Amino acid sequence: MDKALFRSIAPYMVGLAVAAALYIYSGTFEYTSRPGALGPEVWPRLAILLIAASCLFELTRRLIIGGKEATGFMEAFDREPQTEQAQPVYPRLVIGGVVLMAFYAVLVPILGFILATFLFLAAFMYVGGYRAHGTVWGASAAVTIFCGILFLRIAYVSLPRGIEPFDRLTDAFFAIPSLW
Amino acid sequence: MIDIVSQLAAGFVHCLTPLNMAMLLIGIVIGLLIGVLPGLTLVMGVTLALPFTYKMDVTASIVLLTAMYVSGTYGGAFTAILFRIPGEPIDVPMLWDGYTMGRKGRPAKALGWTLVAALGGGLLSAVVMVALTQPLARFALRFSSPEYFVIVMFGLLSVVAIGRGSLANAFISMSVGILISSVGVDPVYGTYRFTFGSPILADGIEFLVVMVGAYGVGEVLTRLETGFATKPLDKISNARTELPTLKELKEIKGMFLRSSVIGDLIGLLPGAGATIASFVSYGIEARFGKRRDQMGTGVAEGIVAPQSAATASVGGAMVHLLALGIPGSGATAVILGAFMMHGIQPGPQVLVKSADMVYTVFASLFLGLAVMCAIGYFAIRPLVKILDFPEAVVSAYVLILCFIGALSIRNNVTDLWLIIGFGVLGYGFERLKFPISPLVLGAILGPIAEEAFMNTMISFSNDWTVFFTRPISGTIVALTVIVLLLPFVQRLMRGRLART
Repeated sequence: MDKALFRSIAPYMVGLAVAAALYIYSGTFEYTSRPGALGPEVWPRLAILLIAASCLFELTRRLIIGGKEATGFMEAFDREPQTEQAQPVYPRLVIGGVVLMAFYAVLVPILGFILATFLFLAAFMYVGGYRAHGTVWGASAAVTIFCGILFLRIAYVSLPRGIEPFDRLTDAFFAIPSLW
Repeated sequence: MIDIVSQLAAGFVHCLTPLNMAMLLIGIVIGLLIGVLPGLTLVMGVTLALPFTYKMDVTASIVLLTAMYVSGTYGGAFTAILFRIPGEPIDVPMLWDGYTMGRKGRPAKALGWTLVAALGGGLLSAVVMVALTQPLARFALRFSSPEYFVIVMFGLLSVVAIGRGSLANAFISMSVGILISSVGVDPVYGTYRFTFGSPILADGIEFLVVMVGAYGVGEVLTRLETGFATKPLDKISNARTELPTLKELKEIKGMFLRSSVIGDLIGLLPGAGATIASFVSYGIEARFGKRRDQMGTGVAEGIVAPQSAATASVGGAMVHLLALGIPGSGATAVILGAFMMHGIQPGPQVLVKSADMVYTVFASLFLGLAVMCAIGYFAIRPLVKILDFPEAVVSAYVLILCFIGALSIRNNVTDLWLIIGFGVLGYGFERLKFPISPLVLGAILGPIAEEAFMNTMISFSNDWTVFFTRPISGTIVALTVIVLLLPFVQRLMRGRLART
């Protein structure tokens, strides 16, 4: 089997395996059955069976016609065929972005919303390839302050304060007089 | 009828309060900016506005989101015509004639046609919305659980059938959404499902997390993959709008009306939003229009048809959201989310319980169209100036808004992890060509469908034939089958045309 075809069918093979695992897992739901009533596993199992059937269909279709993408209803209305854009892709940037988001999720309970957001904004702009240092730090600070005032003092959204001593920064925002 | 008119008049009065007018204006401006920015889609923009509406009055928040929805269908035309950058998928047909007209030295005229088309289509859409919502809601009061189940499935399956790419991928996406919505406590037995021992999953997965993650974070990751590569822009100093003359308008009045009606009808179909309306209307004009041979060469029909249909679809989409509680597009799904956040379930009862609010939203659409066109006419240059913002900077802000959305749902950092997870899922779906709308709609409508399904099974002793034998549900099932067969019929017809 050539690599392109394998890459094209791999997601459906994974989908089938996951569907099978979830189907089996759904049999372990604990409940007291009621006579004549369907169990809590019935509805999710319908969705799982639909996933499995769709994966099986697409897998078979691709194996028969060689991995070609299917077209849908809307393609008939295209004036120009929508071709794949030939611009380069950088998967490392995506990994960098996801890692940065994960760091944010780890740091936000520790540093608090204000500091974690400020650092995240600046770091993400660098990961995105923006190198105007003054704008990066200035814009990060401005947006952090704006969001802090808007969400902490005006909209009263509960955002993480952070632990000692970082929570003092969040407290500083609470010192700003509220609109109501 | 008099009842509707008097309620609409009251709606105008409510809409003119400072808060509602401010939200209308803000919504229009943000919607236009979202339309202009290629990195922000209409649905993503409306989704990002949700956290701002948490503490807001429900009417003001729906006015804000609806205004963004309407103006978002118009703003992208500016950049499509001036720079060949479609701000939204809706605006792709605008490249074929709008941009071409601009290249022929008449960008101001192309922008003028767009403005008139958005205004005309939007007004017709607002009239349709006002006229149809109440009768449809009254009709829907007759619905019982089997009818609700089939109408929800009709909405979901329409999204699956009428889209791009593989039908199987769309089915998988929808089913994954339904499966996600079943995580947590089962509504009938109270038993835990798919929690894998995690306390946070026991509370279920909020559809907002799925929506903001898949649309917002996923879209940013998809654009990050290309290194935020945007094309350099031409000068925008000549950006202005020149309205068509009355004579020019008279020449295309039939086509204008046809496109607006097509847009409205497509909007009324659950699952088909502004993008589909825009493409279908352009396609029909290119196949049957008076100047079909000249389509693509920069003619007014190629601009008016997609734009009027796209804006006209908004009213249709709002009708079934308000009357039936079924969102037919990504944007109306977000608006449904806003309703639910404020404890209001759109559907037949909403016109009984919250008529003031509904008619204020209706009135805001009329006022919003006027404001939108005035801003589009006078402020086009500052609007397209936003394209000067580096994409990396805008994307960083978008992510922060997504994170605030996650953190404010349950004040729990786990939702932040979930949103990142759904962002990665959305990115993966985008890469593997799985549509995201069915996933999100599945997550939103899954619980409603399950409840209606289980209630039907309990009430009718597990007799599944009830969905086919009751007149209304049987008719909707037949409509669903027709919609599902559409892609196959279309393919057959295309094959037959190619052979002849």
